[in-house]
Amino acid sequence: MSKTVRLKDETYEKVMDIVSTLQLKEKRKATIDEAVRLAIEEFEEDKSKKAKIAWARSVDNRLDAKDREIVENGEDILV
Amino acid sequence: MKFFLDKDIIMRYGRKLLLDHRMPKKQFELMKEIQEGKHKVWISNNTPFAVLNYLKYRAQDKHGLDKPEEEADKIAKEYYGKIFKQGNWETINLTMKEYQKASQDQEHHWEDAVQYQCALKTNKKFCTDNIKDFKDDEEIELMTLR
Repeated sequence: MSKTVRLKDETYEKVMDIVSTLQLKEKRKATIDEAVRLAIEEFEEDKSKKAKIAWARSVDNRLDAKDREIVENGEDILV
Repeated sequence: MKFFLDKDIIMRYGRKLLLDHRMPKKQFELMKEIQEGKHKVWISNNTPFAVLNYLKYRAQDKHGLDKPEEEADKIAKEYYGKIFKQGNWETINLTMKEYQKASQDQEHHWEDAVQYQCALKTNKKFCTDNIKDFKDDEEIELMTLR
């Protein structure tokens, strides 16, 4: 029995990318289930990377705020 | 001199090396002196891990998410080496009891509290730029570079 799944545009594009990558590189057809599973894995990986990068940027913001304070108070200069 | 060093100063130095981002002059000069072996420096056992992670994710941010993670790892390790290879560094470990004490600390944020507990296990001279969260008290002498 076929089922209808609604996908966001970006998810649809990602799934279709995976389907064509598998066809081109591995010369095989991917099932939609497999392509969706791979797309979700990639999204999760991206999400995790983005969260870690966001943490590094938050460190930067904290350091920059302190540096601005140091300069504004005339306590040091930046080099 | 001998002192305990706040990890933020090391992160700034790492960022300067990696991204050529400017940092306070006094902190930069201190880091150069440390690398020349002029000081004995204690750091928290958590600091090298935090610095390595910071370098990795900043490198990844700079070079793009689509690059393999291994590339960011390689860059982070290279710059980590540039920071810690030279100098007289020693890490300070906390016992579970001391971590517990840090977790109950009402005056400092968690990361600051861990560093504070570590500093208590050294000669109690704490080099930091964070004068808001750390204050001179009976137990710690602050070197603020400000």
